Amino acid sequence: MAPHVLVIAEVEQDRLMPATLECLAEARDMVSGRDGTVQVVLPGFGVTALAETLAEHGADRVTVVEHAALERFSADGWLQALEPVLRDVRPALILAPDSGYGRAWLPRLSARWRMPLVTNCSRAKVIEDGYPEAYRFSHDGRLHERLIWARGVRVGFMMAPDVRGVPAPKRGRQAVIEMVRPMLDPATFRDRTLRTLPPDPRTVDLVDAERIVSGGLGVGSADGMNLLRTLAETLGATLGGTRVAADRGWLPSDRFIGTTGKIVAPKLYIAFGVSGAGQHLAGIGGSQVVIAVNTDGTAPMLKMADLGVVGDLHAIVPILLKKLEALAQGSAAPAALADAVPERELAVAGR
Amino acid sequence: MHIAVCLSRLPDPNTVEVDPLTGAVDASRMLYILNPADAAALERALQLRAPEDRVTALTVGPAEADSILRDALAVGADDVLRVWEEGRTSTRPAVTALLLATALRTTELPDMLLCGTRSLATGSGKVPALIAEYLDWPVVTDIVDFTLQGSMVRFLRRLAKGARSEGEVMLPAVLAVEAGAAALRYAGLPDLMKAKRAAIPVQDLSELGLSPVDLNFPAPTAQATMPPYRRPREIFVPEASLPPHERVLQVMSAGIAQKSGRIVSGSPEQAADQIIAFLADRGFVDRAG
Ligand SMILES: Cc1cc2nc3c(=O)[nH]c(=O)nc-3n(C[C@H](O)[C@H](O)[C@H](O)COP(=O)(O)OP(=O)(O)OC[C@H]3O[C@@H](n4cnc5c(N)ncnc54)[C@H](O)[C@@H]3O)c2cc1C
Repeated sequence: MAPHVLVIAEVEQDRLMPATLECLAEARDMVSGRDGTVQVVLPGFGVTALAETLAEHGADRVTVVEHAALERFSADGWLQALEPVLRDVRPALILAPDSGYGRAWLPRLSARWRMPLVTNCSRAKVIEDGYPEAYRFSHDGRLHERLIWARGVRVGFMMAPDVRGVPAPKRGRQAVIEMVRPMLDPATFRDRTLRTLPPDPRTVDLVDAERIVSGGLGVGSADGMNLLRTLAETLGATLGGTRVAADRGWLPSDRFIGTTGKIVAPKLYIAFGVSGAGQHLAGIGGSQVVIAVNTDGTAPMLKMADLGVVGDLHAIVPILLKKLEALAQGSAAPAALADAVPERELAVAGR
Repeated sequence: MHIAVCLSRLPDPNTVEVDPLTGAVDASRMLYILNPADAAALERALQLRAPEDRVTALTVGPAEADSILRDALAVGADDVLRVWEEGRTSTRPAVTALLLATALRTTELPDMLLCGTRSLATGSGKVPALIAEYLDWPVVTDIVDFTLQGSMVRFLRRLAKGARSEGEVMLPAVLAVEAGAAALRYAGLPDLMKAKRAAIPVQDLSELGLSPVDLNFPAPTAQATMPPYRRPREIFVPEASLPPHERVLQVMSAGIAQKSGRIVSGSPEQAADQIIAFLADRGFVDRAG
């Protein structure tokens, strides 16, 4: 049997959710060696450019379901738009991220089609020549269940996010891209999303943080760490640190980074008073841009940084804070208004 | 307004012990609780209730599940209902949802149905959407907060990675809330005593107008349980072909390549300027001026 596996893509703020790429990797594994194909259904508005990324992560065919009414999620809208598309595709198996969005409409489809739908999956497979198999978590992760269906049964799998990870893309891999423009009347959607609120850097899990300010033993005290917290807030960053800093009680224990702590992948990582021990570095490999401040010019952390500053953090951080706050105030005033401010006040603001 | 709340009694996950060899679960060690997300749903219903409103708590389960309905009465639910088919040992999400939806249809359709977004037992998270399908109502999952606005509900939904979204849904609707959406109030002793003696109404299949075949849903042909198993993620291992000292070096740096970045020094003032210029250069802060 050459299985045709369908993946339902999820987009948030014009970006593919990593959980979608994890599903795609799982689908790829399902068809490998079986001569099957992987098709992705990508609902949204102005999302066609993402088809390329889907191809690089293993899609053979991408069906973009495009409509202005699909710009933001609606369970009613997704059902109206996708049920006919999925019916036409007649996939052997369906994979989707286990998300609040998915759980609002896929179970309804499964009831209409009398299709088994397994949520919270850690693994989805096809065994031998066509028996769908799933492993799923239950009892809050205390138990694993294994389920197998009769050969050829169409099963929907909703994959728990962050379980398998996203493999590296294959640059230049191509897919067939097709467009479907459904007829939709958003007035008939009984539920709708008005806007998306970004995560609050102060409370977001370090694993998901986009920017991290990190403190090590060199920070010296809980007060020193609090100063870094202020700096983090000014930069819209999340505060983290080394295990030793957490052991001293300067940080909660879910806020240290490394082999025994969180593995992070921020766009920006700024380390203050962190020596750069292997156990710490193992947690920051995914960081895109790294800045390190250390009094010891030979500290390994400086060698891992895009910008290494040899200096005393206690002297640098307060100045940095002042300058950043001045900058923020400067840019907060619209240009036209700034022009109208009398010269005397400008001089004060600019100091 | 009539608000219905779905509750489920389930084993506290902390008391679920799995035999590492056979994967069998020792039922005798399990202690039962009210599903935490359902408790949050019940609290939100009670908070929402105006003097002329009514809150009904429902559950699908055997006689032992009466305990959570008594607890619901004790904290202030006006009515309760238990639905069950005698002789059943368990239910799948589709069965639970069908029984709940049918019970609501045959007794009285509420204006709003609140439930937990996911249980700590099976944890399918499908029941809210399935009930919505059987009632032909809209549904919203993973709700962390909501307010009533006329015939609409404004909600805040949890998304992945710490993000949230705001939206609205038309009533009647199924609202599935997260465990953190509210903490259930405590019942007073007199209320607990009164609830202990209350009669719990029960409906079975025939009263719901259902037959056992209606509860047949496609099922897997094989099913087994086992201890939780974390699927391995790819991690760094040193390149085997390298000489030993290089491998040690790789392990020491956790395989993270050194960057040939810039190293600068100077006065604190200069250092701060360097950092800001670098941040601005990479687009993390707006440049001055
Ligand atoms: C089994 C095991 C697991 C571990 N797991 C982890 C883990 O998950 N995460 C983790 O972080 N660690 C972990 N560790 C600990 C790790 O080995 C290091 O000890 C730790 O990371 C060092 O923390 P640090 O950089 O804060 O402290 P130090 O190594 O003491 O470094 C402090 C740095 O601050 C600098 N400094 C001092 N004063 C100033 C100043 N005024 N201005 C600027 N710089 C200054 C110093 O030059 C020095 O480089 C683990 C250890 C073991 C044995």
